[in-house]
Amino acid sequence: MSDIPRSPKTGRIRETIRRVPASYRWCAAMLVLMVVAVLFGRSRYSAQILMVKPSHSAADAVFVVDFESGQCYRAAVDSVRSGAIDTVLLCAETPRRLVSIGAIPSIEELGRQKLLNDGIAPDAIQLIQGVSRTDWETARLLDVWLNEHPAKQLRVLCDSFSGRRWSWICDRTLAKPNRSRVEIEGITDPRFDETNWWRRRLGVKVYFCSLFRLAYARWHGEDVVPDVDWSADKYESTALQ
Amino acid sequence: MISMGGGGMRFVRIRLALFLTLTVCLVVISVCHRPILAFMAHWLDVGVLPRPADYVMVLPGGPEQRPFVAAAMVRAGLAKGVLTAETQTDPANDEGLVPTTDDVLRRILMLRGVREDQIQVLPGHSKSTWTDALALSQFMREHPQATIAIVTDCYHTRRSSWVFQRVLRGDASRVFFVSARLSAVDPNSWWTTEEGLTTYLSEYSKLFFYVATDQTVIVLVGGIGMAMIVGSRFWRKRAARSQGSTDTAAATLTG
Repeated sequence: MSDIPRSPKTGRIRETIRRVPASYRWCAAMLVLMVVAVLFGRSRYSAQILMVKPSHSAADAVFVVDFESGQCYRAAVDSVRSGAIDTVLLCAETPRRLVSIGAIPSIEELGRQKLLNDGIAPDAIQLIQGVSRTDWETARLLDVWLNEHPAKQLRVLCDSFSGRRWSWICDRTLAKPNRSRVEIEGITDPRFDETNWWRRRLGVKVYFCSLFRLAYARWHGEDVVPDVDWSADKYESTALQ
Repeated sequence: MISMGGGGMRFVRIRLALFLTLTVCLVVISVCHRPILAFMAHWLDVGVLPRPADYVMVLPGGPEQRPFVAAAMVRAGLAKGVLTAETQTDPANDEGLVPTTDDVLRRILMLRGVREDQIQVLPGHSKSTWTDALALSQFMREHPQATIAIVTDCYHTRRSSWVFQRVLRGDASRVFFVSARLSAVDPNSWWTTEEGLTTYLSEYSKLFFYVATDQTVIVLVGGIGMAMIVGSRFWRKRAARSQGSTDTAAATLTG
């Protein structure tokens, strides 16, 4: 044992450690990094970077960001039915090809019809003036509405993984006094949440899409909207060339 | 003066090489990121120009583009009918908030001049490209001579083609892919818009997932990895042996 070289200061077996090839040490470091990445990915903190904490403050009106998402719509209807909220805001979007050809109704028409069918009074449904193409434009229209209704508190309902992004957009588009009257509430999808999103294909899809969208909003800012011709005839005429 | 052994020098050389490679990569990316990113988008598109086929299959999703290309093909006489895969409904459909994908697809096709009897829904409650391919494989077994043009978004053609080749195997020669151009995203500047960035990054993530979980790829990568480890050990031992013999020869000469 005495012929094993030791460090004169610590007495540790120095040469033996040095003999471990550098490539093995790199592999071990990469393995540790991967394990840490997987553990972080599977922890609730990975999803919490996309979410906001609900403040549970009182609100007078509710705006559903993603009307096609069942859980946000249901939360809005429940709030009105319970009497906690008296107005549901709808926002018109620039009609795309499907709406233009009449394959589906516009999102505001779809929302209005569904709310009426679910027993919401017509005077509780309010359409915001203007048409939006992006979430940033929607937030600006909400700002106008807040200016016109200075006594109202607004709750914005979005899916839970979009909460941080919506909060960021509102921080940058709403006037400061108006921002304090807006609460962002993320509604959890019944199929997955921040503790198990990686177990479902849909959860993974939503998580990564939300992550990319938040990254774009934070690093780039407002979305660039190209001028798009949504005419079906024009699209089909070029499709076969 | 501090002297370094052969191992230490080699380690410094490796680090220097890594640093230089990284620097060159960063410079290349910062100078030519536009053509690189545009190439990444075009690489995903393996679609061909529309040509005659017995049927045109519209993959579920992309309703603003895909069914319009299929309808145009049918109207132009390039296909006699449209196939679609039956899709799984989600809570928003069950709630009656939005119509189902199947309903929307059928409505678009009929509005664009496809007759109802020309539309055939393939059963299977599809929820992914893989299950779309399974639905088509059943149809192809029942129609052994049929040729099929598969219409999907341009960025989706590479992954779809990869999946369909694995599922259809021998029958894959009877299908080809037609790209439906995106209206709101330009492949030459996809990274500048939120929709483009989300679309292309998600597609690359999905492609990576599909490839990484494929058995053939796992076996291939594992095999290459093992061969590299064994090869490097062999090479290192050989280098050490030759170093040893050189030292012995030098000692003999000196002695």
